[in-house]
Parts: sequence; C-alpha cells; structure tokens
Amino acid sequence: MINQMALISLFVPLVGAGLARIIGHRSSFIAQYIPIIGVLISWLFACALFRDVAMLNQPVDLYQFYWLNYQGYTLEFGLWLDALSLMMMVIVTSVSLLVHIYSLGYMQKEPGLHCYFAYVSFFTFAMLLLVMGNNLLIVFMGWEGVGVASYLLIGFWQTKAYPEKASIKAFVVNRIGDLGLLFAIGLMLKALGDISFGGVLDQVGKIGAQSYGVLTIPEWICFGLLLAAMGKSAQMPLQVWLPDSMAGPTPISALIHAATMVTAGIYLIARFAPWFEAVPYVGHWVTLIGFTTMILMGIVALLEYDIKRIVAYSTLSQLGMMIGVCGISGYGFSLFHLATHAAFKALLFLTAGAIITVRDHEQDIRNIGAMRSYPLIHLAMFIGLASMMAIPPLGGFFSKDSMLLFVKDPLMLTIMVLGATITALYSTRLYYWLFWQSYDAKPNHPVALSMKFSLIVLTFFSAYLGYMMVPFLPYLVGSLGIDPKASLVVIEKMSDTGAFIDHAFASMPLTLVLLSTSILFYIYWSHISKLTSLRERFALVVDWISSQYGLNPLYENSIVKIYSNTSHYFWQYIDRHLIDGAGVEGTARRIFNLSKPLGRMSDGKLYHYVTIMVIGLLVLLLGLL
Amino acid sequence: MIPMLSLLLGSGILGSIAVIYLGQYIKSRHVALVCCTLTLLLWAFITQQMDFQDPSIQLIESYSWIDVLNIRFILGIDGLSYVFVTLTLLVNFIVILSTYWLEYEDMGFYLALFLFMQSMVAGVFLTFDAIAFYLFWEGMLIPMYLCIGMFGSSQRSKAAMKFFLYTFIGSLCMLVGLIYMGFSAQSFSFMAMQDLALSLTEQKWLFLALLFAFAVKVPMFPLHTWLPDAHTEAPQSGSVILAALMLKVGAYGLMRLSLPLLPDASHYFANFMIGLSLVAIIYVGIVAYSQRDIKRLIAYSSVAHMGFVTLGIFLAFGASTIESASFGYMGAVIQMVAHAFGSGALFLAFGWLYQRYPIREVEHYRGLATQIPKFSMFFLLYVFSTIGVPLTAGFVGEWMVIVSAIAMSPLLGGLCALTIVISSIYLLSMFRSVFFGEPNQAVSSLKDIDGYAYGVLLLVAILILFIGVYPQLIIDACGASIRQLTEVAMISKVGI
Repeated sequence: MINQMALISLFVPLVGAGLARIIGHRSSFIAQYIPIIGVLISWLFACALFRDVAMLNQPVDLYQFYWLNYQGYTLEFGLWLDALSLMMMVIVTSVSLLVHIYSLGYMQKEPGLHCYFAYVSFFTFAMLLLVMGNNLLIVFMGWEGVGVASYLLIGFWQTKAYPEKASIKAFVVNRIGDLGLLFAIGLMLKALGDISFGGVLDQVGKIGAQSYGVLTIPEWICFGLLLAAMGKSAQMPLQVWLPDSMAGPTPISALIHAATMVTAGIYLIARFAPWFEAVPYVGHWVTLIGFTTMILMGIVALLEYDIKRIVAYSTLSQLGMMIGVCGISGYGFSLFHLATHAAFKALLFLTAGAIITVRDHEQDIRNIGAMRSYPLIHLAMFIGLASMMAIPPLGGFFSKDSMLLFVKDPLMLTIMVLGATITALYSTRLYYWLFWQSYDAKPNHPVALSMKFSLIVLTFFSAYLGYMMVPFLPYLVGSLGIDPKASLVVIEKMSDTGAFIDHAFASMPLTLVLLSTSILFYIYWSHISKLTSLRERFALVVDWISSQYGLNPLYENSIVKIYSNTSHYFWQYIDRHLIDGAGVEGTARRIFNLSKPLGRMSDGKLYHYVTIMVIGLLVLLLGLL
Repeated sequence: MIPMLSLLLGSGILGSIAVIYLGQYIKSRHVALVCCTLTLLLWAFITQQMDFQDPSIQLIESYSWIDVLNIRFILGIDGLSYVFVTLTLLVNFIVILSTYWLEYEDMGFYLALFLFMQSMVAGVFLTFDAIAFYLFWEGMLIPMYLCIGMFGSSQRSKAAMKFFLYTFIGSLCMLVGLIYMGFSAQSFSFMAMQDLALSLTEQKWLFLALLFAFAVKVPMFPLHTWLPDAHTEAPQSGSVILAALMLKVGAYGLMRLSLPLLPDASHYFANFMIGLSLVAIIYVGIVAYSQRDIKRLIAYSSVAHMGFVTLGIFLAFGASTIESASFGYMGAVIQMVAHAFGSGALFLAFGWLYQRYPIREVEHYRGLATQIPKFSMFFLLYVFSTIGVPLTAGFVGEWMVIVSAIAMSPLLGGLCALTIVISSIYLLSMFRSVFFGEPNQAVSSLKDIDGYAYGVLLLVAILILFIGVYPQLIIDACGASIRQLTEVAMISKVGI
C-alpha cells in the first residue's frame, strides 16, 4: 500500500507534465488544470504518507526494479521513506501546489503557458525523485532533473536577452557542482561497492584508512558531496548563478530558487550526516563556506535595489546559515530552518511577484513605494520578513533560535548572531522602501484571486509552521542516523514554548535584531540623505560588493574569455593547422609532390617508356646473372 | 535449417537492387521501407532463436570459400554482435523513414546506397572470418563515398576524397595485419586466430596495424580531422549513418579483434589508449565550443563522446577485478548505442532543418524555439541526451565509464567526469544562439514539423528515453558475451 502511494505521489506530476507539454497547446484546461490536479494528488499522497510513515522511527525501503544489474554492481530503482524524505516531500508538493495555483493568476496572459506548467510539474517530479531516491544514483537523477527544469524555467522568456544568458549560466555552474556528486558516487562504489542508503549510511567506518593524496576516501567523498551542495545550494564561490536565476518568472524563483531546489544541498548533507560526522575536517570546510556565504551575501542584499535580487541574496544568506550549521552537527535544526524558510521565502517571493504585478513589472524598490494601500500584500510581506528576522512567535523564530541554542562554540555563535543582525537589517530596509517610502506610484493593477489564495496560505504557514513542527523534530533528528542527544536537549527546551520565548527575549540575538531594526528605521525615517551620500562616497566599494565581491565579473568576463580563447586556439592552431594542415593534408601534399617526377615519366612520350623498359630489362637480366 | 544470417545480409543487397528496379514503377521510398520492415521482422525471428545467457557464438554458418588459403565465409552471432546489428537495423529503419521529408533527383539510388550499406555494416558485425570482415569493412566505404560525393553540399568532393583515402589507408594496414595473422594461424577465422600464440613484439606491430584502421574509424584523437569535414558535407541520412553506425565499427573492431586476439599488446598500449581517449574527451570537447558550423560542432561532440568508448574498453586493463573490468567494457557498449541515438538524432533533426533552410552557420539562426516550438522540443531532448542528463540514453554509458575510471584512478575519473561540464558548455551555447531570442528575418518563414516528422522524431525520443530509463535490456542482451570478451582479453597469449 505504501509502495503504491509513494509511486503515485512521485509519478502523477510527471504524467501531468507530459500531458501538458504534448497536448497542452490545444486547450488551456489541459495546460493549466491537469498539472495542478496532478500536483494536488501528489500532495495528498505525500501528506498521507507523512502521516503513516514519518513517525515510524525507521526508514521504509521500497525496491522497484533494477535499473542496472551487472557483475555485482546492483543499482536499483527504489524509494526511501523516512522522516527526512517525507518532510521534504511535503514541503516540495505543498509549495509546488501553491505555486501552480499562484501561476494561474500570475502567468495568465503569457504565451507558451502549457510549457510553463509542464516544466513546473516536471520540476516537482524531479525534486520528488531527488528526495525519495533510496540510493545516490536516483538522487543524482533527480539532481540533474531539477537542474534541467531550472534551466528551462529560467529561460522561459526565451526571446529576452537576460533569461537567455542566465539559464545557461545556471546550468553550467550547477554542473560543476554535479561533478562532485558524480565523483562521490564513483568513489563510494569503489570503496563499498554500494551506493544505496541502506548499505552505506552507517558504513563509513568500514572504509580502510587508505588515502589518496592528502585526504582519506571518506574525506574525498564528503568533499564531493559538499561540492555538489555548493553548486545546487549556491554557496560561495559557486553562488553566481542564483542572483541571475531571477531572470525567470517570479513563481519559479519562489518554488525552485528559494523554497525547494536550492535546499537540495542541505538535504544531501543532512542525509549523509553520519559521514560528515566521521570526517570533522570536511565539517570545518562546510561551516566555513556556509558562514562566509551567509555574511557576505547578506551584505550584498543590503546594497541591492532590485526587489527580486534582494530576496535572492537573502536566500543565499539563509542557505549559508543552514549549510554552516550542518558543519557543526546541527543537521536537525538546519532542516527545521529549511522547512520554515521554504514557507517564508516562498511567501516573500510570491509577495514580490504580486508587487511586481501591481506596479506593472517595476522591480526597483526605489520606484515601487507606497504599497501600504494593499493590506494583504502588506501583511504577507510583514509576516514573511518578521519570520525571516526570527521575531517570536513566528516560524523563523523557532528554527533560527533552535540553531542558536544548539551552537555552543562562542565564535560560531557570534558569527551567527552577526548573520541574524544582517538579516534584520536587509529585511527592515526592504520593508521600509516598499511600504513606508512616500512615493506616489502608478500604475495599480489588481492582484488575481489565485495569487491571493497562495499568499494567504503561505502567510499562515510562515507564522505557525515553526510552532507546529516542534513535536515532529525528535523524529526528524532520529532519522538522521547520528547521536541525537545534543539535539534532543534543545528540542526539550523548545517544547515549553512560553519559556522558550521568554528566554529569547532575554537573550542577545533577539535584542540585537530588534535594536538594529529600530536604529535602521530611525535612520531611514530622519536621516535618509546621509545614507545616500555615504553610498556615493564609497561607490567603488559598493560596486565591488554588488558584483558579488568581484566573482561575477571574474566568471563572466575572465573565465569565459579564457575558455573561449583556449578553445579557439586549440581549434585554429592545433586542430586545423597542426593536425589537419601539417599532418593529414601535409602528408597528402608531400605524396603529391613526390609523385611529380613519376608523373613526368608517364607523360605519354614513347621514348621515355622504351628507356624505362630497357633499364628494367637490364636490371632483371643482371639479377638473373 | 534456414541460413538466417545470410538471409539478413542478403536482404539489404536484394533490397537495394529492388529499390532501383521497382523504383521506376512504385515510389522508391515505399520499397525501401518495406524492405527495412521485412529485415526487422527477420531480425525478430532471429532474436527468438538466440540464447542470451550463452556467451558463445551462435547460429554459425560456415561456407568454404578459398580453400587453398583456408579462407571460409563464417557468419555467427553473439551478444555483442546482436546489440550492434539491432542498432544497425533500427538506425537504418529510422533513416529510411526520414527520407520521406527529403527530395533528391535520384531518390532510388540514394535509398539503394543505404540499404546496401546496411548489409555491409551488419556484415562487419556478423562475420567471424578476417577476409570477409575486411570485405564488408571496405564494402561500406563505397556507398558512403558515393553518398557524400553525389548528394553532399558544396565542398563535397574534397570531403568525400579525404574520407575515402583516410579510411582506406587505415584499412590497408589492417589487411596486412590480418593476412599476417591468417598465415600464421593457417586459417582466417577469428576463433583460430584466438588460439594463435604470438610474441609480444609481433603483437605490438599487429596491434598498431589494426589500431590505425580502427582509430581512424572511431575516430580517435589525433586521427579525427576527417570526420568534421565528412559530416558537414554529407547529406542528412549520410551524417546519421556516419555518426550512428560507421564510427561504431571502429570500436567494434577493437572489441572483436584487438583485445581478444592481441591481449598482451592491448595491455601494453592500454595507458597510451587511455591517454588518447582522455585527450579526445577534454581537448576535442573544448575545440567543439569554437565551431560556428552546427554540423561540425555535432561532429566534434561525436569525437568527444566516442572517447568514452575507447576509454571504457581499455580501462579493463587497469581494473582490479574482472567484474569491474567488464563493467567499464559494458559502459563502452552502452555509450556506443547511446551515442548512435544522441548524435544520430541531432544530425537527423538538423537534417530536417537544413532541408528547409540550407544554412549551417550558427549566426544565421535565431529564435527557432519561438518559431518552431515542436521541433525545438525534440532538439532540446536530443541535446540533453548528448550532454548526458540522467534518464536519457547519453547518461548511462558515460556514467558507467566514469565509475570504472574512478575505480582505477580517482584522478582519471575526475578528469573524464569534466565532460559533463564541457559538453553542456558547447551544446547549450549552440542551443542558446540558435533557439533563443527573437526569430530573425530568414527564420521567420519556417513552418513547424508536420505530423509525420513529429512521429519520426518522437520515435527517436522514445528510444532515447527508454534506454535511459531501462538500460538493463541492453545489458541482458550482451552481458554474457561482454564478460567473456573481457576474460579473454585478460589471458596472456605469449608462449601458449
């Protein structure tokens, strides 16, 4: 029964996608509602499975068939259901369903709607495959599948220049990360002969101390996984594709580039928690990369003016925090934050989409302004931002404070509080510019009903998800396969909600957050010109930071140019001139030149032939003698 | 017993004659299609008679031919041959189907060439006698030469000549090697040659002689430069056959002749071959990025992907166990099938486009995805298969080879895994320039594919997805033979 339910949940979105893509252009019903119904069914079954299986405290391994079975390499196609994967399934299908519904309103006048809905449904399928797979190969299939969906959807407005560039950038950078996963799979097969979760998760100790270069095999594997996570979850220095992915439609940014796909890296690291626990050296790198991204990208968000890019940088920053906390063993809380982040970040993006609709595709927050006249948008944005800032008792508060509570190391704690403060600052900034700036903006388009529906649902969950999920956390931590003691202590503290909130108000982080918010609001309210002049004074630094610390130009100009010059050089000089010119055709020419004297002999003159015959005869006769 | 394999080879030759003669009365395309279908039916019948668990050669037909030299005409089939003959027949079937959207003056002759070529290619895969092997090997050269020379585009005569001379010189070296082995063994059958004891020095020279022929056909770096020229000038069907079948013959030769007959030399040269394959994968992949001619770009991508085939074959010598050796070997086989449907499909689809808008340069195209969306959908799927996205055919073989490369040396594996980045760069850049953007003036008169072309492209798409989702089918067909071929390659022949 569970098997059928899982299969239905996985494949119905794919069927919906296929139908919409192939026959969707015939009627808008097929194009829009078949994918929605598909995802709805998938969501229902995911929820049912969650109810039945997530609290079992043991994984359910569902074997389907052998994808490949040869010479002892048995790679099955199978599904793996436990608290972690079921939580991801519910997140993915819920956000996907809401985004589908939202898109009904947001995308209603776009051409190629059937492609759009088909790709979103296909993405849902691939993402489900990623989180449901019972071995790394299936994960890799989903992993690449979501990459393809992301490519297609970023490039959805294919006639415009920016999506054209952003889509290929996203795909190629993601593939650099995929290299890591491919490498990890290969090494794992070499070391253990198996890549199924059941066969490898608790086997890290069985790998001998054999090492390649400076690292042992488990360290190489974990670095591979980390590289994969850096690609997909856009961690520095592979973060460059995510800000540009905003070239796609806004609902896509909400679904793929905020709530689900970019969290795949965290899922992967959390899934291999026992491995990362066994190799503390890699854990340091995980923390370093995560926290660097958190701080540096948060600062970029402070300087950006494009509403979608601000939210994108904040996504990078939040993802950095989740990854970093994984590095110091807080997998469970990192995943908790992943869940609440999915809710509030999807909400923020969808609200941003609503604002963009209202203001007729204006994305610069300086020109939007005065959104106060839209109470729903105001409420949604307020709840979303407050949740992200970890204001009690909203969703983000529970998850972020649980992370802060878990971390014991004072240095780490300081960095995380700094990150939380930066979050508060850019959230406040965004909120001020959108709602309190007295800028009389036109035009004012209405917000479609379907969009309102999604906003309301997500507002609700942004507010309450944190509180709702606390009872589930012990199961989540239990499914990770690591010693849950330290985490359970924190969860214990959280279960007494009143005391937890009281404690938070008396603690440093929240105080700092509220203080910095108040100060920034005060500055905006009364001394805004000073900020502007400050920005002008340090224009060079601002530019440098806005270019993602020079990384974006480095990739887009230098590396691309070097690659294309190398390619050109290889082709022109080595392939054409050396191999083909000098080698192949040169040989042909030399043979042709050599044949000229011979050609002169056979020129049709009789006496030449006679001379040669005579010489030949003489040679023969001499030989005989 | 009916000599079914001879019948199979005969059907193509008879078919080509039939097309030319009956073509005067009925549409020659119908005749060719009927002939192809009949061959496929015959093939289904042969499939039923095969035992795929048995690695030995089955359905052997042996006819005496030149008794003085003990040359016989031997046909047989094992798992490896089975996979490749299936590929040949399927690809040829699709090619014949696709000729319905082509128009040439001498259509009957055009079709006859492909039917004849089908027999020759299938002959290479089915014969187990060196001289017959050589005859079939050269036999497929002539129709391809005519195909490029007669039906190609503007630079066709030079390309055809280059193609012919290059491969012909290679084949002559092979002939010398085969004759040497034949005389030493006093028989030209592969089975006899396999039992022949050869010193390492002999083996090395023979290996190089055979390698020259095979490496040109594969083609391996640095003998690859004829391929882009031939591809750009060849007509649509010629390109498809060239990419999907002709290149496979070279790798098949390595598998059938070089490794089992000259195991010590193969072992000796294994690192050299792995190095060349790696150069093909990385260097040629980088070169492909600079190509402004779409067909030339796909041709370079072919060379890069065939690098995985040679890599997979020769990785067997670096593997620690026979299991992992056969795994990489199997990866090479699947990569060949996948490449046939990946690059072949790209050439097929581009051929459709070229028929309507005879320009090959990337710059002249813009906005095709808006102008002809259905066509673009299929083209994109083929692109994804070629860059090795999982659940398409292109992923399976590449992945298996990468896994065995990592098992041998993680550094090597990491290097060849770079292909997933390199290939996505060159193919998606091309896709971006050609398909994205606003349709330009020249493109705006193009009409999208009709129902028929849709069907053909869909058939190819289904095959690609099927191999990607369930590669086990290929493994079941040739698994036993591959295992045996790997084992044979591991047994030294010096001083038996």
